[in-house]
Amino acid sequence: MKMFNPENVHLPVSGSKKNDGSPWSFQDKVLLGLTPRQYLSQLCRNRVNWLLVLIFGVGIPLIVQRYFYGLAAVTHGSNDYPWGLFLGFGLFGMVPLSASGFLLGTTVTLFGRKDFHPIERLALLNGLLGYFFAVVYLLVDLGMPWRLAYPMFVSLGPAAVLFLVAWHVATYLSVQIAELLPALFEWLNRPAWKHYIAKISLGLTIAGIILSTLHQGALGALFTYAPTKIHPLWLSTDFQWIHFLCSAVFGGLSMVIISSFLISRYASWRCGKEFSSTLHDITLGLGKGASYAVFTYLVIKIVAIAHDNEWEYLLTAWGGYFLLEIAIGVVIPLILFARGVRRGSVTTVRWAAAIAVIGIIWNRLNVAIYCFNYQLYQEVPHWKEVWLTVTLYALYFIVYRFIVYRLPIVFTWNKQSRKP
Amino acid sequence: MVRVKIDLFPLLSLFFIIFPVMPTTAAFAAAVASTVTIDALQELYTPVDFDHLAHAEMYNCTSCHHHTTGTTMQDEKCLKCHKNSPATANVSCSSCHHRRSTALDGAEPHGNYHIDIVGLKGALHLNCLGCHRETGAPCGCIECHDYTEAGRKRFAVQEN
Amino acid sequence: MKTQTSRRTLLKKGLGSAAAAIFLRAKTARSHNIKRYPNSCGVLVDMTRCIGCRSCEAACNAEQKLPSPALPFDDRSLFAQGRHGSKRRTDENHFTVINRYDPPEIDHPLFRKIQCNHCQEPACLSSCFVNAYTKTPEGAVIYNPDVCVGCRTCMIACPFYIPAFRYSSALHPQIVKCQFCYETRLKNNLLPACVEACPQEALLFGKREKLIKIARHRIRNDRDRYVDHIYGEYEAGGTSWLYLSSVEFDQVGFDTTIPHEPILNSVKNFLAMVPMVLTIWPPLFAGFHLLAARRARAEKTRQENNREKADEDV
Repeated sequence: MKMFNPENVHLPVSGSKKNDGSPWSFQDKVLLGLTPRQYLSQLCRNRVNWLLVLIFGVGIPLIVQRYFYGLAAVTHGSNDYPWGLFLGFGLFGMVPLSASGFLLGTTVTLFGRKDFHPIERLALLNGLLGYFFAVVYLLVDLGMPWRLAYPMFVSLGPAAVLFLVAWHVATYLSVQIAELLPALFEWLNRPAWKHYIAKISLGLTIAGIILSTLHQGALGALFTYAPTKIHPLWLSTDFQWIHFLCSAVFGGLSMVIISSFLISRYASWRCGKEFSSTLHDITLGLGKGASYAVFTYLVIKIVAIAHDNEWEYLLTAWGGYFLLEIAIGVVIPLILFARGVRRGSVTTVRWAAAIAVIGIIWNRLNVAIYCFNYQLYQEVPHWKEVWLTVTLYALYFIVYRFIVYRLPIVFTWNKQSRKP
Repeated sequence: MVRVKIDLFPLLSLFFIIFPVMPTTAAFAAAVASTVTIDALQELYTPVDFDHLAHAEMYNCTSCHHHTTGTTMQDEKCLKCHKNSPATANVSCSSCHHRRSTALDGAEPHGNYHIDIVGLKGALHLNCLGCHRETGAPCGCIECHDYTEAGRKRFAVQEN
Repeated sequence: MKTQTSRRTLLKKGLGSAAAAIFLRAKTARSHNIKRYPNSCGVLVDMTRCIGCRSCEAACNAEQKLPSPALPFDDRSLFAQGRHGSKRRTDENHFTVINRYDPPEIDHPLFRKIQCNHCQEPACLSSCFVNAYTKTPEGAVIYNPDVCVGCRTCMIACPFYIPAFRYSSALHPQIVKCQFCYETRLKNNLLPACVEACPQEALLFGKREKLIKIARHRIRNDRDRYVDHIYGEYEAGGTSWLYLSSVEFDQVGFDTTIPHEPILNSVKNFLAMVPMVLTIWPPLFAGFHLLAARRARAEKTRQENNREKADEDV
């Protein structure tokens, strides 16, 4: 965004009115205050967009292929591995990384920690988009996505864990949309509408905690349907839901640490004063929270092994792999988080968060694919499945970027014209 | 109750009823049928031309039949109860092995005996194949009975 | 005033959740205890009798109007096939499959028929979020293709790897599996197609209770022929299809690690927790909020007092 140099002081759009007091038009808001030609030229100059074009160039035909020729055309269509990357990464990986919404909502609205307020909206957006794209992945993976509403309205199977997931994700999506509506209303110059949302914000937050606890746990509980298929080290029928919930806590926090860092680094023009000035302390605060959660997770992982008396598995090859996952995905982030927080080093905390995010995704892929059917052959996803997964993630990135650039997520909306 | 829908064995039953008596060696050749046509499962397979005489010459009657007419039981398991039973009057398979297995009738089994009498199709295949597999005699389906058109179609056999 | 609103919200939420919890518990309790049908039917598979003729596969193919196989059903070369080093399994075009095993301690091969085992408490049924599966009083576990969404959770849940997915279809990609010929035969008092076709009576149809008695009878009468176990009597809570074998079951491809209780039991830990979260979380977190709000207010008042004091001092 090299357009936003000192000569264009009135840019970017960060309030309802221009400097001269006239309101921004809708087109101005969408195009970030640039002319269409300027907007297009900056789009083409951005190398990230070149990469995106490459991804979509291959990915879009693949999506068409999937819907016209069935899942077998883009995946191995394995009856032994019913869930591949779309769910292993898209659902089981995206949802824990989106726990940020309810965590920060709870911290700020419920516990009254106003010092985290500047990042609350980013956390909510991260949550909302994560969930939304988990549903998008689901729409690609489901045999008949047009029947998505069946468990809601047509034929109900209320005793199934997936029923709970479906309802809770759907409800929680609405809750998160409601929580983010104020940002949209500000952007649309309808501040009065915020009033209604503000009234129910406490209720929304509490609903968010309940729904999140249950569906984060439920995603873990889904695997307890396969007690004979998943390697015992990755499946504890008693603790699975707690493992998933607890790892979602540091997963969500880590994801906000990463995304706030990326925004402050690569879209600094967009960051408000409050956001920029507090990010250092907030990152450390989030890191502190994450370190507690990682520690708790490590403890209950060990408790689960003790509870099921699975120590001897640790000496097998699978045990080695398990210890590797714990070492890289849990212990290293734990040490880095602790050191970063104690020494006040934001960089260390960010490294810890990055490794933790990878660790979570790795863990979910292990449970869903790699350690699933551990007594059978190993499924390696089709390259088209991998590419499609990347394509959908690229779409997620674009939507994320589009919203952060425009809505008042990391800056405060200025109702009056800005002072020169 | 469940009913078996197999059109079964009129000729076969007849045969076993007609040739039950083999009391002496002298009467053997006269009493034993040389060839028996078993036309069960006509739907998928052609009838079997069973060389009864050849089998009767190679083996004892008791190799295949539980008992012969006019004698008592030989099988140890049967003897436990049937030691003093009168000589049996009927040697035909179908007189005990009915169209369907006893598992299918509604009656609850009483005691431990006669609760697991296989159906006629099962009895014939178990009997014939049981021996054929041990002695290295032909075991393939179409080595005893060829496919009918319907059988060829069912088993998706490619026409040459 | 603010506190009052919170309290009211709290009360409303609490009541709502309690109601939701009761509703949910009632629903889950209902299907936690899947009704067992004492008179249900099953099939006893005596593997010592099976000769691997694949008549059952051919009959199933004809009955279910499945596409013609690439190789004819009397082609035995197929037994050597199988992907990824595993044996053939059920898929969208094969609802039952015969596999050959050569256990070292016996001199002849054994053949294992796989198809849906029609569990007493089916994992597929309890995992289905659109309630597509039904356990009929006759014993069949059938599904309703009109509501299947294609989420494939039942494939995850089935400990026997039976449900298959029609991956190749763009318009009707859904679950398919053996239905015990429920619609076409069982309902009309006819034998399942595979059972009827079996020349060896290796497949014996009957009441499950009676089949267990017969199986015990066979084991007792011929201890050299059978191992002393009826596979399916207790596995996964009991199945309608039962198996007898002449070698240990794990040598002929059976999973002997399957628990002797319904798969649903391992999910119950989580399901039992759901009503607790629904009822305890709202008051708990609303309480936290009140405490936090009160502390913040106290802090504010204290600061104001201090300031006033300081002003007075000056």
